[in-house]
Amino acid sequence: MSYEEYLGYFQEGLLRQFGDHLAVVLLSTLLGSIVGVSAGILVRHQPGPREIVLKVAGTMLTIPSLALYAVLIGILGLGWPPVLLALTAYSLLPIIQNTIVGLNSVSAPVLEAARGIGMGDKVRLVRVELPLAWPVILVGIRTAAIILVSTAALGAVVRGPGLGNAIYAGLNSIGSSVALYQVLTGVGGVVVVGLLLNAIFFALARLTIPRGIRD
Amino acid sequence: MTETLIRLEQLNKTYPGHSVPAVERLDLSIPDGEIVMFIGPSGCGKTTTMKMINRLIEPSSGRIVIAGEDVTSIDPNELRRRVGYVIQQVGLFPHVRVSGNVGAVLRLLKWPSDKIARRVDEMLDLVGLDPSQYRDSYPKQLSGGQQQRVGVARALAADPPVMLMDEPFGSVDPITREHLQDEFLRLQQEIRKTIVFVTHDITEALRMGDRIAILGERSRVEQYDTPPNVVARPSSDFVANFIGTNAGLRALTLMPIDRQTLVPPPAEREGPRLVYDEDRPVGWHLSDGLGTTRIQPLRLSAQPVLADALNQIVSSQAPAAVVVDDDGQLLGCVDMSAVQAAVRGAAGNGDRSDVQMEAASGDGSA
Repeated sequence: MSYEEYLGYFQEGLLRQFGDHLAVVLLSTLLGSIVGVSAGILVRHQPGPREIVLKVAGTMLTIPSLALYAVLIGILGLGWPPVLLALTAYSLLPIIQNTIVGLNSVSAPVLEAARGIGMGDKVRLVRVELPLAWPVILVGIRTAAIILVSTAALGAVVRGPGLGNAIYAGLNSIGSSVALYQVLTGVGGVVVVGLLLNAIFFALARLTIPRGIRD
Repeated sequence: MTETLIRLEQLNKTYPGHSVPAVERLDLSIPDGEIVMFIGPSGCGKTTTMKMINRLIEPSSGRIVIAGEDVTSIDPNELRRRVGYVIQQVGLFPHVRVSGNVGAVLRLLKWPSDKIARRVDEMLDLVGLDPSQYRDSYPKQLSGGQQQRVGVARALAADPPVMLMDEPFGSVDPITREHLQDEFLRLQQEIRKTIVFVTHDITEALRMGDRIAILGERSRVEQYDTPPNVVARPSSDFVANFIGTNAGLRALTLMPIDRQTLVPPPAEREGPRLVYDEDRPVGWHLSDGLGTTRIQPLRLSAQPVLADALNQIVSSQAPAAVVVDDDGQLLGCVDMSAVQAAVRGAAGNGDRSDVQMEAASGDGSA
């Protein structure tokens, strides 16, 4: 079987895996952003809780993903849920860290002016601090998403979605005529997902970072 | 005496973890429509005192009364929307256009957006920025001076009766600073706000203030008076020391030349005589072979001060400074004796030179 024949034959499945891969990464990045940015906002001024939250998020990244998937099967079964949860957990460290750094680097005079004209804490957070911290937070979110692209590929061991399935299928049938095609297509697809994500985040930055603070 | 707009009563501030108060039992009345300069050595509590007026720093005890209302325990955000606030680093919101910056308080006050837009343009006009050119700019596209104008426009937008200014012109170059100061004084003629202005620059204090509060340690009021009185009659060595040893020269910058100061030019036969060009004085013919020196006469309508006269005397080597009308016709001269008389008059009594001597020697040994 030639590579063209292989692609023609498995086209539908591969495209679905590609879409699933992108979707699971984006979805868990979104969940991680909601949790991570909120956590960052809550602990940014308190050194104690801040250290704890960062340690916890850091420790999660050190758990090998295979092990985490295996543990999560017991709780969430197979398929999307354990992969989503694991990826969300892996996304937290860069997002929380950049949220804290971004918020805490908003210039003191700007904050003082905001207080001085009578902005309350919540209004100040929404209208001043978050918009000014956003470029840094967005970098954290992008870093998280890029990390997740490769971790998501391992999700196939728990019957998760994505291009990991093509890679696993290839590894399981080493010696067969399509094994190499499967592995290469899976890996190539993962790389393309990564490039696509980079493009998405580039566009997101252009669209969401106010012109006054773009460089 | 004008009415008091801001009254600080027995104001105290002790920062947590400090045993010595930063501000101790401060009583001060600030008259309606005046600029009051807070000046004192660094760490004296002048900024703390100012920030207690809009409660960016909460007083430990005491009362703040603005226009008869005790604002010591009202909602601080509500209070701050009624008190304009301008700081040295300006603190414009970099992600928001000039229009959004100027309209920030109005948005907090929930004005309708069309009214905000009109008000923003009005404010930009007021501070000398063309609205059509600048309203859609971002702060980073403006020069330092322009940014501070936007800062002033933002503080004035809601038409607050009170403005607090914390070294607002401290971070621009000296030429721009002088320009902004002049501009602000002109603006104040129009808006007549009650302004508390913190500075560490005695020249700025003398130039901008209707009154100066010289603050010592723990914000103790060492002297609270008009600039000429502070210069001419320092209440203590501390004040004299603070104003500096060239108080006599500083005093000259505060004393306007008026028609009473003028004397006729020296008689022509002896010594230097004025040289005219078509009836307008243009220079001096100096005696004993020094030749002719050209001068730029002072125009009375430009409100020259005695320092200008002294400057002309010194730089032209002539015996007197020449003052003309708008047409360039001679009005009269200011000679050294007039300058000396003015300084003597301002000094009031002979004790003061002793005080200054002490201050000077104190400086030398420090």
